[in-house]
Amino acid sequence: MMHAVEKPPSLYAGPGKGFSLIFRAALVGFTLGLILAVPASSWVWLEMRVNAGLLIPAATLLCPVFTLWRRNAFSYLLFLMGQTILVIILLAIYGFDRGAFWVVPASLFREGFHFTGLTLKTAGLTVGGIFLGGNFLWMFSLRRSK
Amino acid sequence: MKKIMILFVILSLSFSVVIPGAAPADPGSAKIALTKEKPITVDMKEKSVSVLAQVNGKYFYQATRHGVVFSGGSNGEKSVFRSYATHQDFYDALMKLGLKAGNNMTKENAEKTFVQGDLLEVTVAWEGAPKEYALDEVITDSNKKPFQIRFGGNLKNALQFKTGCLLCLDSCPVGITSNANYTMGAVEKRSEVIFKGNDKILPPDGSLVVINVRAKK
Repeated sequence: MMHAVEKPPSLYAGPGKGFSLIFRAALVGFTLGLILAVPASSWVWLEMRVNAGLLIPAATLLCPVFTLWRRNAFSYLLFLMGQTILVIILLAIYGFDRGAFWVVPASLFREGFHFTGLTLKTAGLTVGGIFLGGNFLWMFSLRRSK
Repeated sequence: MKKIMILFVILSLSFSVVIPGAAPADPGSAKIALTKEKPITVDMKEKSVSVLAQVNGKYFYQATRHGVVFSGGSNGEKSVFRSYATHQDFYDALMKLGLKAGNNMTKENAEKTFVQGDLLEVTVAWEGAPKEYALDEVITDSNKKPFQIRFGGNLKNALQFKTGCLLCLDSCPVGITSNANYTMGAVEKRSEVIFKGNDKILPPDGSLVVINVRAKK
């Protein structure tokens, strides 16, 4: 008797549409941007020459474009994996320095989006709010769709 | 798989919560005589130049080779202190005091040459600070060498490259003043030294400070 093979979880959630598709892609892109910007900015030679934070708005814009082209929404698993990778990268570079943990993403966000008038506290709260709100909204929409 | 997902959720939510919780207090408003409209003064009696600047807390955790940079310069976000005064005004102020610029640095010789010019004493103060701190107390040198800040000059290069650099932490052909302990490239090319803002002494990110520069006796 043949048993059904359980499909591995996919990084894509199947065809999606509208605002939800773009919103989720933007969250994934924002996370990807930070994953790229954090190690880039820790390289002093590069950090002194370029604005590594620009990777964040670039990825935040490109991911929705990519997902619209593919017509396939990113899955929540991908967003979770991205956040975990980001945490691992921060730990690898800065250790358990709680200050660095929030200052570095906050400063990259501030520089990347040219919000130079923001204090790091406000920028940090914004980044935290994006992740917290993004996780909440995404999980809520997943529950609703079941 | 479900357990892995739950772990991911807990990790990511913890990360999201840790960030706001670790935010430092807002800096208090500084009762400093200088303003953003008038960010630099020359005291001929004390023979000093005072510049209004703002702390960039990013460099408490990351290394930089820039000590003080004009906020409108291309390196405005790359320094421990963001100055409200321009590099031109800073140069003019030092010249007004009768100080002599070295003007010995070029892009070609920068990696092999130590900046020359009059030796300067640079201190930093802010509202509520217990004292006026020496620059090397508020910016740490991983080799613990006391800073040797000299009036490099370099006005022509400074105006050409528009980096906005007032004070560089290694010898620089563009910064108006530089640290003569190291040649250019010591920080980001050869990794000889790491400079960071000292968060144990400096006020939080965004705080206003006054940077005082005078000839070292």
